[in-house]
Amino acid sequence: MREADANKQMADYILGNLPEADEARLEAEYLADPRLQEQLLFVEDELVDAYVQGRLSTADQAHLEARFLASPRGRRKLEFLHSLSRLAGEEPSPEKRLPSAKPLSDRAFPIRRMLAAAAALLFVLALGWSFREKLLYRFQQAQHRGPGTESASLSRAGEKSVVVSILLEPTSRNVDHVQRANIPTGTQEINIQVAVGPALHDSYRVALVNARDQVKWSGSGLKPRSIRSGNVIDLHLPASAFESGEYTLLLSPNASGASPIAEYVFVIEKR
Amino acid sequence: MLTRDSLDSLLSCLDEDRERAGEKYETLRRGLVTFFEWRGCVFADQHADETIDRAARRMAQGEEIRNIHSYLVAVARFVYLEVAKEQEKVNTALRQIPQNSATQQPQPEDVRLDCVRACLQSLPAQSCRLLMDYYQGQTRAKIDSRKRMAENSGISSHTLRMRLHRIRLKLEECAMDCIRRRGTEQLSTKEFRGKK
Repeated sequence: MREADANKQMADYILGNLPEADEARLEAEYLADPRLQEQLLFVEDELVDAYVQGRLSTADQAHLEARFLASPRGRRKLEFLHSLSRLAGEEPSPEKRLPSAKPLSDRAFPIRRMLAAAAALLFVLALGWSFREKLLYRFQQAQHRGPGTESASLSRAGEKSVVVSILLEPTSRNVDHVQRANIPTGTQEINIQVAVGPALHDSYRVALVNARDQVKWSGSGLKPRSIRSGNVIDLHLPASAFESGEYTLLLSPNASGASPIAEYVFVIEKR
Repeated sequence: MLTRDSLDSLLSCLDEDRERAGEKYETLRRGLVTFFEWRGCVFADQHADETIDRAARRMAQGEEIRNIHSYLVAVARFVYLEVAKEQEKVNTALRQIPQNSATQQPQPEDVRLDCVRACLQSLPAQSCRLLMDYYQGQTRAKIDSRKRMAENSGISSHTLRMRLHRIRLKLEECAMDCIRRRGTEQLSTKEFRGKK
């Protein structure tokens, strides 16, 4: 089933518009499948957003009110989205909109900070020294891995270079576990292993997007490599391509026009 | 009540490996909670537990179950039918309570707005900007603006929506924590004043 059709079916389910047999089948599926639950929660979020924006039909509005919005979590979500819409409406311009960003505060997110620290330990797997020649060789490999590959250039010759390795797992709904990587000063290369699970495709396309939604790097024809826990795609990128901030890596099958099948959100912290 | 035996029966039906069975148990319980929430139930957690208890008891009594998830769905539907009947009675009673009763008061809007504003400030600047851009404007302009945001980013509108969804969840969780804390503070202040 196409993704849009699947989402439509899920929306119909949440609104109570599905035939009973289809409902029961979907319910048995999602009780066993955490990914399907996540997808349903995404559709639920979209439905309430559409409700707040007045984009639902009168019948669907009534269904949502009688069902999900009658639950305490539904009411809280509705109030939250109303508040968010109202705050966004009050903001005059992007520059004046909000005070400058602060990092997640320890006071507000003590558990998240601990999780982030643990995640950083897990995902910054190795920190090794190598010489520029080796780095250049790897970087050239990345550049020539397939058509459509682009990247930034390397910096100073003759120095020892720090290489940071990161293993990226697909992002799930559990947003507390955004992966973080601390990049020490002097790092010249960042090796990213992208976990792709079972290798369902011969090759993949990857786009690296920063938080301003600018595509910072893209590659195509990337072949997965088998490791003990599944399959990974190896990316060797120059550290200069990164600034501190949030990045999203979008993974698609290599076929033209294919939509992303997974995304990986991570935060780079340069020191 | 879920006894040790009935829980063991359920877990062993989910997976031979105890740890994996525990994970599957958590998944199905989360699914059951949303099953009841999407039907508008007020005590979705309790109904999910009741569903699991009933299914597990039947299993401990030796009932043969081919597909545990389909079985749980069938039990959940029974529980829901019972709950819906009870809820109708409760709703009838609630409609007779005056609207200005303290128990019916939603959280004041200024508290909610304060909390959402504070939590927005704790987000990374880019996430915050993305969210504000996404929600700005009137409906038509908003739809156009969202399309432009996706086009400018070189990502599909689905990917943009997924990204927004994650940021919203993060923000929502923070705002709910904040509102709960404020609620507790208000309650403590009232209790303190009451004692004085």
